[in-house]
Amino acid sequence: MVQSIGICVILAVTTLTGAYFCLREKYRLQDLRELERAMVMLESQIRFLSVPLSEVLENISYQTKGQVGLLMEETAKAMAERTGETAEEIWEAVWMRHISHTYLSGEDYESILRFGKTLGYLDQEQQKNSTELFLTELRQKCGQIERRLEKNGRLYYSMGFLGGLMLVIVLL
Amino acid sequence: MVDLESLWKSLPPSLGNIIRKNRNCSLEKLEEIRLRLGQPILLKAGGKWIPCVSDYDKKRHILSNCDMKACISLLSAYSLYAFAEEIRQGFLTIEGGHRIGFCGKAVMEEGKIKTLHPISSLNIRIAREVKGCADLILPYLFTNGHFCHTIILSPPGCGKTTLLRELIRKLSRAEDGYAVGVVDERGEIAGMCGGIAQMDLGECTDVISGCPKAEGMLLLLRSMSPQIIAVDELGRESDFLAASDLIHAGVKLLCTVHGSSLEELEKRAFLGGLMAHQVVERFVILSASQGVGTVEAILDGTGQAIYEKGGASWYKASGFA
Repeated sequence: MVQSIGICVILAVTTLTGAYFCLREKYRLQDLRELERAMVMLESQIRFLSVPLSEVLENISYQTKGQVGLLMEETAKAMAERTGETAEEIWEAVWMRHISHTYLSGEDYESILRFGKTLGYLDQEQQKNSTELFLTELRQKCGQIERRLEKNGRLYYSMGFLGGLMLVIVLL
Repeated sequence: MVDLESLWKSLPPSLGNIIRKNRNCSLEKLEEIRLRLGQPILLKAGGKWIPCVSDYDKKRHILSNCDMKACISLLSAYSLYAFAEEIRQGFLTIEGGHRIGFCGKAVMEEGKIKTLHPISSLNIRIAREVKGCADLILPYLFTNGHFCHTIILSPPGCGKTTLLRELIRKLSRAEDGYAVGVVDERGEIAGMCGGIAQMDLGECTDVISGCPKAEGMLLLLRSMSPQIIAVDELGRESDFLAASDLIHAGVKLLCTVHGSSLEELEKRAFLGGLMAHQVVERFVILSASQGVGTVEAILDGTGQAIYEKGGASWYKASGFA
């Protein structure tokens, strides 16, 4: 009886571990997609409206879900209150506070900070180009994750389950 | 009356504190702040330039590249791209109505200035309202209870815009007042920021800002049915042609012109034409002979004085200086 329960527990834990790896990638993809949506809006508002960043980011925050929406809202607020000397400083401070609440990786975080360094002091054309560059980077990342999930999504679950099964056989 | 809080918010705290706590210049009388790369901060008060000495270390603060970058970032609300046109024209109006003048290396495109980069000097002109400064003048601008077409005339720096702003405020009232349209090409009258006039222009004032004066006047005439159109510094031929259209459309004109006497105005072709037909009914001539805003005379359309200098500057009368 105890043995059966142990087997079930091992199988459940290893399968869930596999699921965790798969879902983490899925949620990361969701966050990146949301960030991509936000950047598309940012790029179009920079292109067509001569509106300060605080207003642009506030507008974006109303149309963006999850942590990314909250991040945009907080950045807009900090910019309106002029809590830093440069946009880069504010962008970095807000992301640093919130990055742990997202599923984004260290590599994503570096790209985000790199984009933040270009915020605020460029002219319209340069600002548009830097946003487009960041968008391209985000789209590449999303594409890679999608391909990986398509290829390995079920594999994570199977690996988890089979790994557990192997452990059970070894232990038996 | 001056709102400096919004200015401190738009400057890096370190720099703002140095200016606020400087030992040599009273902020009450502050007129301009000059920031130049590699040079000390200069403050202008009472017509004199005063180097800003920090209260903390008793030294002059030399403006660094970092200071300049932070200043530009904050003054443009972290959005230099949104103010491309303003930078191209060389000035920007911030909250509180203060005007920031830019100077630096001009980047040219097809023979026109595209932008300034890098920016090497900033001139911050403190916006100031002198409420009550038009009280003595206003009664002279009416005939039989009707407001007259009026030109305020003075050399630069004698308080034309301040007087114009106060006249607008006094005239623009819902009850027994006028609907006033203001063409604020350079943002000096209203200091529009985020769609809100930073200066008190009364309750019945519509402002079109950043638009050439001639086009703005005609646009206001078509769209807002104003009773008075106010405009600062008429100078170009097109401005006077548009003003002439307004006058013949039954709208009263209130404007300022550079000059120091009627004789000077008569020599200017288009303005001379308006004067020859005695279309303009009042001329207010200002000078700085007894301080900014000294009213030298108020003349009627025929050039007859209906008021001549007797008192002190209205700046002084309003307790400013």
